[in-house]
Amino acid sequence: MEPAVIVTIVLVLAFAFAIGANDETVATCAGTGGIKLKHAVAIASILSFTGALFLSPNVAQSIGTGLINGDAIDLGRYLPAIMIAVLLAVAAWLVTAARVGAPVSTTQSIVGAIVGIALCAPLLGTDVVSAIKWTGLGRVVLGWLLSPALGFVVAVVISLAMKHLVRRKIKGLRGFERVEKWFMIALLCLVLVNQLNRAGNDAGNALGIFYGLFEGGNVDAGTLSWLLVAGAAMSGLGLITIGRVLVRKVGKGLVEIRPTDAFCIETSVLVVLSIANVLGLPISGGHVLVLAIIGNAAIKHERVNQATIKRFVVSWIITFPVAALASAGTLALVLLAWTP
Amino acid sequence: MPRPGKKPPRNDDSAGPIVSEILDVLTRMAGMLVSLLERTSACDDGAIESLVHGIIAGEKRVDRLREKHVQELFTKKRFLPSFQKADSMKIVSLLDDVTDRIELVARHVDIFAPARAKIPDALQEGVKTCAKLTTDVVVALAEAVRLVHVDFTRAMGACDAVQDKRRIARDTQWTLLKNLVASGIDVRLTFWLHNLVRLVVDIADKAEELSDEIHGLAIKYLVLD
Repeated sequence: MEPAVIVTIVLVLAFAFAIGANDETVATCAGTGGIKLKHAVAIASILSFTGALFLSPNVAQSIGTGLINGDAIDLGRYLPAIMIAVLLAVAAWLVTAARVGAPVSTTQSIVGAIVGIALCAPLLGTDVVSAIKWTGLGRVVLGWLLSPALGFVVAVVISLAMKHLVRRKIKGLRGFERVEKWFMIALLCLVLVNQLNRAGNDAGNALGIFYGLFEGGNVDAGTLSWLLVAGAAMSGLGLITIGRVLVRKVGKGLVEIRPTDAFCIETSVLVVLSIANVLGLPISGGHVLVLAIIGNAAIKHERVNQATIKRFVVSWIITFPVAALASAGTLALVLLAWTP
Repeated sequence: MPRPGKKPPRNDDSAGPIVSEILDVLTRMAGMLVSLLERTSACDDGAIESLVHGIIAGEKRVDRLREKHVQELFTKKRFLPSFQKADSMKIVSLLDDVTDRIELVARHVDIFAPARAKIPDALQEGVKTCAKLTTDVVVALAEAVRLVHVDFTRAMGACDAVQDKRRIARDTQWTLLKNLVASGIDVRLTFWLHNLVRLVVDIADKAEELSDEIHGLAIKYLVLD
C-alpha cells in the first residue's frame, strides 16, 4: 500500500471520529432526563456505528466537486494534497468545537475547507475567482440561511399543535405525568430513527472516501470491509468520548426540555431535513436542532440560556473562516513539503 | 368486575398509589387527633396511650412513604421535568410536615401526662371544636392534594375551602384562649392547655401553607400549558 493511501486512511478515520464527536442527535433525549446522559451517549454510539456501517451510501462521495472548478484546477495532480488539507482541517475543527460543546456543522466545515483550498489557487496554478463554482457556493449558503429559519418555524408550528391538541387537555399532575411518559417512548423511537439516518448520512462523507480508494484500485474488497468497520467504529468512538460534551451542552444547556418538547423538536428536525433532502440543499442538522429548541421555548414563553446561545452563534459564524484558513494553511504547508 | 389476573383499570381520579396512601394515613391521623383530645378531656389514659401510638406509627409510615416517593421520582420517573419532580417532592414534604405537627400534639399529650388534669367542662367543648375544625382543614387539604393530581381548576377551589376552614379554626382558637385565661384555672394546666391549643392550630397553619403551595402550582401548570 502506498504511503499516500495510508495517510489518507488515517485521516479518514480521524475524520469519522470527528463526525461522531460532533453528533448531538440524542441531545434532546438526554435533555429530558428520561434516560441518563451516559446511557443516551452509549446507545447513540451503538446506533452511530450501525448507521455508519449499514446506512452510509456505498459509493465514493465526491466532497466539494460542486464547489471546486475542476476545469481550473488540475485535480488529477493536486487531489491527494487537497484531500489531506481538507480532512485535517475539518477533523481538527470538528473535534475542537465538540470539545468546547459547540454544535458546528460538518457540511459548513467541509465547504469552508474547500473554499480555503480555492484561496490557495495561485499555488495550484489558477486564480481564486476561477477556482470556485460560485453558483454551487451560493446554493450552499442559501441552505445555511434557510435551514435554521425553517427549523425555528417548523418547531413553532409543531409546538403550537402540541400545545392545543395535547397539553391543553391535561388537567392534573397525573395526566401530565402520563402524557410525558408516552411521549418519552415515542421520542426514543424517533431519536433511534434520526440517529441511524444521521450517522449514515454524515459518516458517508468519510466512508465514501474508502469506496473511492477501492474504486481507484488502492485497496482490495477485504481491506475495504475492515476499513468500513473501523470507520464506523471511529464514528461511534468519537460520539462516546467527545460527543458527550456536546450532547450535554445542547440537551441541558439551553432550556429545560420535557419529552413532549423533545418530541416536537425532533419531529421538526426530521421534517426540515426531509425538505432539505428533497430540495437537495446541504444543511446542518445541528443548526436546525438548536433553532428548533429555541422555537419550542418561544411557544412556552421560556427564555433560553443567552450565554450558551452566544457561544453557539459565535461557533457557527467562525466555522466557515476557521475551516477555510486551516485548510489553506495546511495545503500551503503540504505543497511546500511535497510538490506533486 | 375485573377478571382475576387482569390488570385493574387505571384510576384517573387518584393521586397515585404513594400519595393516595399518604393522604389516607393523614386523614386517619386527623381522625385519631379528634379522638385523642376527646379522650384527653375525659382523662381516659388507656385510650390516650393507644391513640398516641397510632399517631406516631402513622407519622413513621408517612416518613417511609415520602422516602419511597422521592426514590421513585428519581428512578422510575426520570422522564418528568425537574420542576415537576420538585413540585411533587414539595407536596409530599409538606404533607409530611402536617403529619409531624399532628405527632407533636400526640407527644405533647403523652410527655406532659403528669401535668394533665381534667379539663374544665367550660373549656372541653372549645378544645373539641378546635380539634374538629383542624381535622376539617386537614380533610379539605387531602382533597386539594388529590385534586391537584387530577384537575388543577378544581384543586384551586379546594384550596379556597382549606383557607376558609383554617380561618374559622384560628378564630375558635382565639376565643378558646381568651376563655382559658378568663377561667382562672391552675397555672400549670393553663400553660399545658395553652400549648396544646396552639399546637393543634399549628396543624391548620401548616395545612394552609401546603394549600397555598398547591394553589400556586395549579396556576403555574394552567399558565404553562
